[in-house]
Amino acid sequence: MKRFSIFLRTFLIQGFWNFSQMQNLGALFVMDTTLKRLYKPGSDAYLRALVRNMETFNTNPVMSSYSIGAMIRQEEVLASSKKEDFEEQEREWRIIRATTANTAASIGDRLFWATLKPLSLVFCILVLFASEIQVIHEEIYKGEMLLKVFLAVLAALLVYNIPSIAVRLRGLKDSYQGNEENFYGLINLNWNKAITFLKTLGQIFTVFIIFYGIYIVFGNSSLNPDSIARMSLLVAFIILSIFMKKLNIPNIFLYIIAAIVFGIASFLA
Amino acid sequence: MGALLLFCAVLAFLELDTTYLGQVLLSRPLVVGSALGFLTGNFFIGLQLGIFTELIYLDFIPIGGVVPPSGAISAGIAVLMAHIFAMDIYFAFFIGILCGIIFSFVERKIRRYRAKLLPKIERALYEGKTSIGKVMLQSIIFQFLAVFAFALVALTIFGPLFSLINQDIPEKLHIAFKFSYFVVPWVGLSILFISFSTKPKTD
Amino acid sequence: MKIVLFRIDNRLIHGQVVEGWLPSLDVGEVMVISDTAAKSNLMRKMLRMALPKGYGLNIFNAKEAANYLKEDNEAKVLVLLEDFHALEILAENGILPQVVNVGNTKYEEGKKEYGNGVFLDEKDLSMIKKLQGKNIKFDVRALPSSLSVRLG
Repeated sequence: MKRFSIFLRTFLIQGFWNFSQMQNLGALFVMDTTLKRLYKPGSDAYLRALVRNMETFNTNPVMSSYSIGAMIRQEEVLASSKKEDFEEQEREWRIIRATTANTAASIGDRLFWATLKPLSLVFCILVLFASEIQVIHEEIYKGEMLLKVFLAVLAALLVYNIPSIAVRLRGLKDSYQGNEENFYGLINLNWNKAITFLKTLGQIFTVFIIFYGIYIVFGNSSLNPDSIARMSLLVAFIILSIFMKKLNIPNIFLYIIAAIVFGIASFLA
Repeated sequence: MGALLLFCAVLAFLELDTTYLGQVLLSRPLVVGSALGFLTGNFFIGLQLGIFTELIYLDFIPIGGVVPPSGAISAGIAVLMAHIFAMDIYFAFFIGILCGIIFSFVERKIRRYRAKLLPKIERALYEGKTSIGKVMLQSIIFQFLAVFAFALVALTIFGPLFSLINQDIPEKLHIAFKFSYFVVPWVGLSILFISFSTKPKTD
Repeated sequence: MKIVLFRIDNRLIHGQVVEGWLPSLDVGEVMVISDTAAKSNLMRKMLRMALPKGYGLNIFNAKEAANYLKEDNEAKVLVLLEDFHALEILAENGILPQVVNVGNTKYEEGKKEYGNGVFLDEKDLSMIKKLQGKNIKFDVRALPSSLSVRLG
């Protein structure tokens, strides 16, 4: 199997995202090289494989490789299976495709979207703090910053992309060589442990950022009624935002409501 | 005008990464904000708008086909508003958020439209009238043009509208929006902390 | 047994459940009701893998599930159903939830879309009518933070 070209194609797995069958054509695009390798284009077997590979598909894009490798393997089994086994093997193909996709999505959404993405933001803010660019401060930073910001953004991209590209590549190989016994290679890495570790790391760094941020913004201001009022309003907002989270209301709405309420209040005052 | 088109094109290209092409986070508000900030010469403003947008968007995760408001659009439009129409950063941020929400409805329409086209494309693929590579290319070009047009329309509607009333905005409203803007990172950091909570407690 | 959420989701355990619902609910155990999963060894293993550590998991077919759900204990459960058919079997066996969250159903040609990822045909709709007659309410939404779409 041409691993590298298939790997590159996985970056387009969401290229035809649609509401009825999600990533179906994207998955076909990734499988296309394999189908052309195994069957003569235009032949009955090819057309049947084409239809099969256009069925509904949805998974986390980064972890999709854990489904793709297993699908390629089972496609090879199908291409060489005897007529009487074919239906059974095709049913098996469907189960492998759906279960690897769902499990990979469950792990991938937690690891990449919910953990590594925010963690990479944390690293970016830390690099900015280290270069004394106090990005949460009201004052516009005037110093030379091109290189520092470039490094901070690069840090954010690398923290996310090094593991994600490694998983994309490894997933193809592991799931291709995998089987039911080792969960199509998913068992090779301890996902839960990785997620717990990264989340804990994220929490520690976030606490640091919060305290350092308070120091930057309020450290130099003397205690007067104005600064106390501002600080208590900030605390009120943080409590409100936690409350919103509990009510499952996204916080951009808290911001929009705040802007509108303050706007109206400023006229009434 | 030429610069405006270029900025919209850059935004549209970066936005593709959200879903259709890549998912390597070139579309994250942090990157979109800094990139457009760099191009427009407002580097710090771009960076700050990017980071604030990203913090306030932490609630949204694109899981299983849910279409959240677009952080890329929010950060991009905000930076461009601030640059092209000399909009104050806190108003630009607000308009950016609104555009991000509006765009998610457009995105839903697009995905529904694709679903509608799907049977026809599947038939064409089956009959060998097109190739899957071509379908992907067309889909991505279409998405690029859609985002490009959206950004252009949003800027040409909200920008002049703002310029029209800019002089008459009372000082009080400036203070209100400014304060809500500087609440954003604190709200964002508390969401960031919650987003790292591990539940249930694992052994 | 305290059932915290009934959810119909054809994909069973995946991102929306583990990252969207579980963190926002007080749940100790997930129960999957699916005839296919109950029969397939591979699916059972993969479902366990998909669930974060620390949650209990039970996989049943619809008939067995009804008996289990009647057991009297303190467990807090999120119940995942494969499709409306599974819900109908539960109802026939005396399990009548007040609200059922509909997260995702399988797309097939001729089905109409009712909210994000939920596709229904006439057969589904008449089954839903029947269940609504038994005072079951349906709440169509993918994530806790999504807007709810009403059925019927």
